[in-house]
Amino acid sequence: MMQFLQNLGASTRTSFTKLGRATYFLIQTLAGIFSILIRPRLLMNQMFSVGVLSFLIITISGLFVGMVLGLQGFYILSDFGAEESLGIMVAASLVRELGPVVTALLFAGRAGSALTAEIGLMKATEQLSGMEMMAIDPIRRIITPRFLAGFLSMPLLAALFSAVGIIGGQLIGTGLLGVDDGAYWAQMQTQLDFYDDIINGVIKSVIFGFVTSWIALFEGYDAIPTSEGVSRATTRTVVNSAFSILGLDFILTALMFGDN
Amino acid sequence: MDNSDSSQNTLVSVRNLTFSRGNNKIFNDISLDFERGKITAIMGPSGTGKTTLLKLIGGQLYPEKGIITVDGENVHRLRRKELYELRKRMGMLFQSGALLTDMNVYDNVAFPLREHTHLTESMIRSLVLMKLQAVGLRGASLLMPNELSGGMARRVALARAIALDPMMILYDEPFTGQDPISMGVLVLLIKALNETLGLTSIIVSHDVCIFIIQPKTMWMIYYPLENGIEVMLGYAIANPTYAEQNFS
Repeated sequence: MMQFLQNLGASTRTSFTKLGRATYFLIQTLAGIFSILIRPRLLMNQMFSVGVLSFLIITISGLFVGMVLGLQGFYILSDFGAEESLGIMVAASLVRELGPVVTALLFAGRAGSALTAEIGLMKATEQLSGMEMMAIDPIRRIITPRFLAGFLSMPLLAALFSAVGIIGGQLIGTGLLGVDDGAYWAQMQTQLDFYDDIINGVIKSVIFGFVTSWIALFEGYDAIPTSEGVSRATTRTVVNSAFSILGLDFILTALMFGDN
Repeated sequence: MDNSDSSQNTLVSVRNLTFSRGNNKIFNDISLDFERGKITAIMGPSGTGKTTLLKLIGGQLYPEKGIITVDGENVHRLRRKELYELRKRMGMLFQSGALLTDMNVYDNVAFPLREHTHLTESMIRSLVLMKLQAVGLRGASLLMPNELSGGMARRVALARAIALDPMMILYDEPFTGQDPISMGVLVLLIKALNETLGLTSIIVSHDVCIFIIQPKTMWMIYYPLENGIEVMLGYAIANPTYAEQNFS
């Protein structure tokens, strides 16, 4: 019993210290934002590797998710003779939920794991200490641009995901299943609210971008500087990001759409 | 210089340093001095905390007790900005070289210049090529770090360490894993840099090859066995007349 309590206490303490380190890390990262504004080139390079290079996976996934939504939605809606509502169904699911969530999950897998591995290896090969000894703050030079890039890319990628998904739904719905093209778009236009749906979706993706980038970069920075340590950190990034995204999504959805 | 008092001659002084990692006491109340403009070697078996000592001098680790001053400044009392200012005057050569793997050799050497100075690109170019020339790697400026051999990587790292013309360089195990030829090149380089640029050099090594460099002072760090348990204790033996006795 004592042993159990001791272990419980020790693991709680470890978790809280880690949380403390992560918070301190975040504060240092955010403090560096001003220095990035003076040198936008650093940010642009990272936006390219984090954002632009995720373009393809996001577009293709978005297209398929939209097409599946078109198919499934059509079969259910046609039972009620409401095929014309396919547009709003596809668009609302994408903009409110699937866009931000699936994009964030893909982002954590594609860009988050890459960030963790990169930072972890930089630590393992003493590049970060080397920079410190050259009087260059590795957080400002390396971490902050990557953090900002992830944070800014996520809403853009989520928007792209939703847009491509809506086109995918239309391809299936109007092209294959014979839903009226005008109805598909008109229903969407009248029923989708800019603030309630689109802005809330954007807020979600901004928050997911923040959390995913934070987790990925912190795990890399905090990794044990060995091959095994980096591999574990990469796994933790994907697992923790997925948990946080899905958990936060529930909380955010409850807050945003709970009173409807 | 010879007639001035010892505090002026000392660039780095370590006083009553105590440092532990977990339950291991690595240094217990050790004091040592490093002379300005001279090569000082620190020897000892691995695990005695030689690299740790360098990290303490560079301000990357904090001691439990004791004071480390570099050029008259207490390293661990400095504010972050002041510490970074001090580090601009220090170079450190890491065991692995610590080159930035996403940049080529040229950009690696130019990196501290671009970060800390507002020199024009053409000026940076001449400086970088000059530093690379000094380590004999001018022709390798367009190679990526993964295309370099271990010895070359360390020489590039050395070129980067001297890019800002520091007052001192900390060498962490510069000879480990080097073949005799590149080791010879490095030995000559370290000596030449010390003589021509008037650098203070602190070399940490467990390799006896350090004798070839003929350091002015040699500090030994070792740990005795106490009651059959390995106790990490730091002891320092100074032998300032070493160079005169043996080599000059």
